[in-house]
Formats: sequence, structure tokens, C-alpha cells
Amino acid sequence: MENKINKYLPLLLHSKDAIGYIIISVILIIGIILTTSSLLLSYQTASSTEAQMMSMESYLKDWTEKTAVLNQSQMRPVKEAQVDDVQTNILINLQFYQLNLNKFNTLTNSKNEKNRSFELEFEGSYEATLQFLRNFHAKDALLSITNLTMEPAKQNIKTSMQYKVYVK
Amino acid sequence: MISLYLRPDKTQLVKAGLKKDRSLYVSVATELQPYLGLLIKDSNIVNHENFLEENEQDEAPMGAYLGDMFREAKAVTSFSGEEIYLVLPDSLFCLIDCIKNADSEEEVLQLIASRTGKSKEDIFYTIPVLSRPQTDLYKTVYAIERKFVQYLVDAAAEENIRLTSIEPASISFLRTAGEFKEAKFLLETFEEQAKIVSYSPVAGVFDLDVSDLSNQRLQMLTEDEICQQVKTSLIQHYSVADGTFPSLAMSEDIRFIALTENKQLLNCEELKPRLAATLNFPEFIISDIALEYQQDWMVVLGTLLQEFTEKDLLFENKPAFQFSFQSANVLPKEIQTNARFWRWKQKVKKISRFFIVGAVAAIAVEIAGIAYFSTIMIPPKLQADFDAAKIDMNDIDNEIKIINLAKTEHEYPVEAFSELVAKKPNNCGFSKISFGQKNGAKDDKTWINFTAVSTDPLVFQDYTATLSTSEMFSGVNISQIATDPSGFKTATVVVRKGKVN
Repeated sequence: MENKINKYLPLLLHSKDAIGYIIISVILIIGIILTTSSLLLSYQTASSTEAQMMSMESYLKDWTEKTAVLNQSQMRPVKEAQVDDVQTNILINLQFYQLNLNKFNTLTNSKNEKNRSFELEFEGSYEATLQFLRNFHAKDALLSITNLTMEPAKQNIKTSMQYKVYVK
Repeated sequence: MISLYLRPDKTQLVKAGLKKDRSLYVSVATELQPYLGLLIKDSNIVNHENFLEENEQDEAPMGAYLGDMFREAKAVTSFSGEEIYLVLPDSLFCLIDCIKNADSEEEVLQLIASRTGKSKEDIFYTIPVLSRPQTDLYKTVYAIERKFVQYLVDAAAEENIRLTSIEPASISFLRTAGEFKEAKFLLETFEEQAKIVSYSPVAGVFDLDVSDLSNQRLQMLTEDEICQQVKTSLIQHYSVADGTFPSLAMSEDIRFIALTENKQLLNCEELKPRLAATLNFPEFIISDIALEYQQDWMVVLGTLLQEFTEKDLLFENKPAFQFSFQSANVLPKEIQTNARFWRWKQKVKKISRFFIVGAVAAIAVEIAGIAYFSTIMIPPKLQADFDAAKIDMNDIDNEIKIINLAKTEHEYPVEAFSELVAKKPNNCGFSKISFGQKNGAKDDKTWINFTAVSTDPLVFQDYTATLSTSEMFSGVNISQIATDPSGFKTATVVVRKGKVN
């Protein structure tokens, strides 16, 4: 091998075309290494971008579904500032159904709870009471009756109820 | 590998490849025009010492004539970068002889000069056979005029071919024939030349010019005269051979191998009993050439076996004493090295060309790939929608959570009351009814508490039984039955929450 190198090397050094081919080949090898690494890098970036896009699309799909759920819901939590309006609406309804308000209290909720609870006691006819309860709402505010007690009071029905106004 | 045997009457061409199992596979065996005449004629015209310089200046070099041979060979075999081996007839060599105890190169050159009258500058020589049967060393010398070799080398170079070897025909034939232990006489006749080349393992090779047996001479003779001529030539041969190979020359066991197509000669009664049977290729030469013609192709094939060493099957039957049968390549070492390098360079260039094309294509594909992958980006609209959704998402989640909480906290008193009333018997009424627990307490087991009033206590059982059928209530129990001051029966009923909404 050493003999061959000693024999051919001087000839090779005098062969400009062979050297040219070898130099071009070496440059191309370096070029291939560079472009291959660049290709791998850009493939990795593209894969990561595609994965990110899929994740974003999935997130948007989830957002669309949740938004649809909210839009389908007739009652929605209200803002803190709207609670008084809700309460006023309920009392106006009470008057509308000719029910007599006996008592109205704001109940204390736990510290962390934003929702507001109230207690209401009123009297009225059986039909008016049921009408009021069937239409117990204030615009589209989300309300729930957590307790309701009805009992006779002379010719009327005395109703005491606790309800909650949900705040977002 | 391509081998060309420049016979006076034709040129034989063989293309073969050496396999890994050291077998020689012959793919092409054909005949071309005769070119030996051109070689002899043109090389005599040219002043061979200044041949290169003259060629460089001359627009139509003389080598172009012999170049036709290489062009024709290229056309037949489509070779490119192949090793080219040439075989020249023994008649072209100015000396073929075995010499005894010529140890130094000077002694050999002196002997060549004295026998041929040519100086060392005018000849190339080779020593292919060395033999020391006892104490004496025999060397077989083949010498050829430099002009023939130079002319062939230059003519090949004109066609962009570098020659690997130029060998004499007899050595090439003896190599293919193998059986180096056996002495052989080769009878070569052509139109104007005829030679007997004798080989013996104990001394080597020498030749005898028997031009009287050339086809041209024999044509002019009758059968009897031919036989007489053969007899004279054989006596001459025996006489010369006896001096070189004592005790072997006259042996009836040594046969003549006739490398001639002259039937008059072959049918001669003087020669017939001494003729050997037609030889065939050894088993490591694989070809489609029919057995009866294989001997005719042994010269042109043998030169391709030069690289075979003593480990190969070829040298299986080598004499036991000190003996070597080597290449008879008359090309100078420098030309051989240059030729090997040139072929190596051609291979490197060929591989490089393929590599360059492949690499450029690969780089182009990769750049296209990089360009394509670079276009994969998050669309601005998707990004904007995502950013907006991300801001909303917490509020939406929170709102949905509140709505779900409201569903669990709502006691649905209106729906439950409607169900209680719908299933109530006529003779039963309520005195008090409550839904859910006060102050945020939650207990579905005591969802509804009510007091039913009736005159008949059995009504309560019927009522609770009816309520139990409703999906809204999963358990209805009477906890107490009593009688109020007015005499009505009262029942305290507790209802467990079922499926509501």
C-alpha cells in the first residue's frame, strides 16, 4: 500500500484533472453534509410547526364547542355589578303577581364564593305563587332555588325561599 | 481485460474478466483485420528515437494507421478504461534464446548485442523463464526492437489508450497450455514466416527460424518436396536443440504443437507421427469457444494470465527444481506504472463523475426539501384566532363551570311540586312542603319534606306508592302519621331525589 502511495502520489500531484475531480468531490461531500443537516433541521422545525398547528386547531375546536355550549345556554352568569338589577327584577315580578313581600335577606356565602345568595318570604294566592315560581327569572341571569318552603297562611300560601344569583 | 494478438494474417481479440474464484471468463472472442503489417511498415518509416517529438509536431501522425486497430477493437467490445494486453508474434522478436550463467544485466545485454547487433538503446528485453535444474542457471531472453514497442505505445496513446502489456506469442501460449514440467515444440507458420519455438523446463525457450516452411514457400513445392523440406528443417531443429536440450531433442515423447493452418504441412508423413493432439483450455478458463478451436485462441488468452501466481491452479504442474515462469511484458516499468496510474485515474474520474452527478442531484433535492419545509409556517389567521381564543378560554371554562354548578345546586321545586300534585289522590292535601336544605346545605336523601293531610290514612300508602313509580323520586318514605286537633290524619313524607332535568 505504502509502495503504491509512493508510486502514484507524485503522478497524482501532476494530474490536474484528477485533482480537480477530487477537489470537486470533496466540496460536494461537504455540501451534502451541510444540506443534509440543514434539511434535517428544517424538517424538524416543520414537524414541530405542524404539531403546533394541529394543537392550535384542536384548541380552537374545543373553544368552538365550548362557545356553542354557552350560546345554547339560555341562562348565563351575570357580572357582579348586575346582581342588583337581577334582584330588582325579582322584586318587580313579585309585585307583578300581587304577592306580598314579608322578608328579604342577603345571605352570607363562603369567603371564596363570588355568587350571591338571598332569602325571600312572601304571601299570596296559590295560583299567583305558582305563576311567580314558574316564571322565576331575571332576564337571562343564571339563578337556582336552593330551598323552598310553602305552607298555608289563612287563605293564602306563605312561601319562603332561598336562591342564588351566579356571578362570573 | 482486452487482449489483441497481432498475427500476420489477422488480429485476434479476446475480452475476458477475472472472477473472484480466479477463473477467467471469456465474454468476447473475435477476429479483426490484420494490423501487424502496418506495425512493421510504419515503425520502419519512423525514426523511433525522435518518434514522440515528431508526432507532437505532425498533424497526421503515422500512428493513426495502427490506431485503426484500437478503434475497431473499441467498436467491437465497447471498452472504456479496460486493461489492454498485446501479443506479438515470435517472428517480430530479434532474439529468443535461453542463456546459461549470465548473472548480471550487463552480461545479458552484451549477449543480446553480440547476437542481434543492436545496442541496449535499440531494444527492450525480458527474462520470463528462469531455471536451475542443477547448478547452472538458465535464463530465457526475449528481445524486441524498441521501435515496435514505442510505436504501439504511441499509437495506443493517440486513441487515448494506455497499454498494460506487450508479450511474445510463445510465452503467452506456453502459459495457457500449463504443464510446465513437459517440454514442448511449437511449430508456428504464417504466410511469410515460420518458426519452431522449443520449450524445456530444464533450460527455457529458444527459437529456430524455419522460413522454408512458410506458407508462401510451401505453395511452390510438391508434396514430396514439402516432406523433404520438413525433414531438413527437423534435422536442423534437432541439431540446434541437441545443443541446448541434450537428451531431450530427439525424444519421440516430445510432440510438436502445430500453430498452423497449413494442411499440406500437417499431412506430411515426416511430421505427422510427432504431432501432439489439439490442446484445450484449462478448467479455470470459461468460454463458449468450441473444443476443437480452443488451441487457436490459447496465444491471445495466455497473456491475460500474467497476474496468476504460483498459488494458482495454473502452476500446479511446476518442476520441482528452482524454476519460475513470469510475465514476458516488454513494456518498460515506467510505462507500466504510468498505464496503471492512468487506468486508476480513469476509474477515479468515472466514479467521480457519477458521484458529482449524484451529489448535485442529491443537493438539488435537499435544497428543494429545505425550501418546501421552510414554507410550513403557522398561518397568521390561525395564530390570531388562537391568540383570541386563548384570552377567552379561561372565561368560557369558568362560565361553563358555573353553569354546571348551578345545575347541581338547583333543587327544581316547581318541577317536583308539579309531579307531586299530578300524582296526588283527590282526597289528600298538603299542609306544608319544603324543597332542599336551608343555608346551602345539600342532602338529596331528604330532598322534599311535606305533610300530607287526609281523612283516610290508607290514602298515604297509595300516594307514596304512586310517587315511587316516578323517575324523579328515588325513594318515598312516610316518617310519621298523626292526627291533628281537627281530627284529620297527617303524614310526614320524606322524598329522595331521583333524576331531575
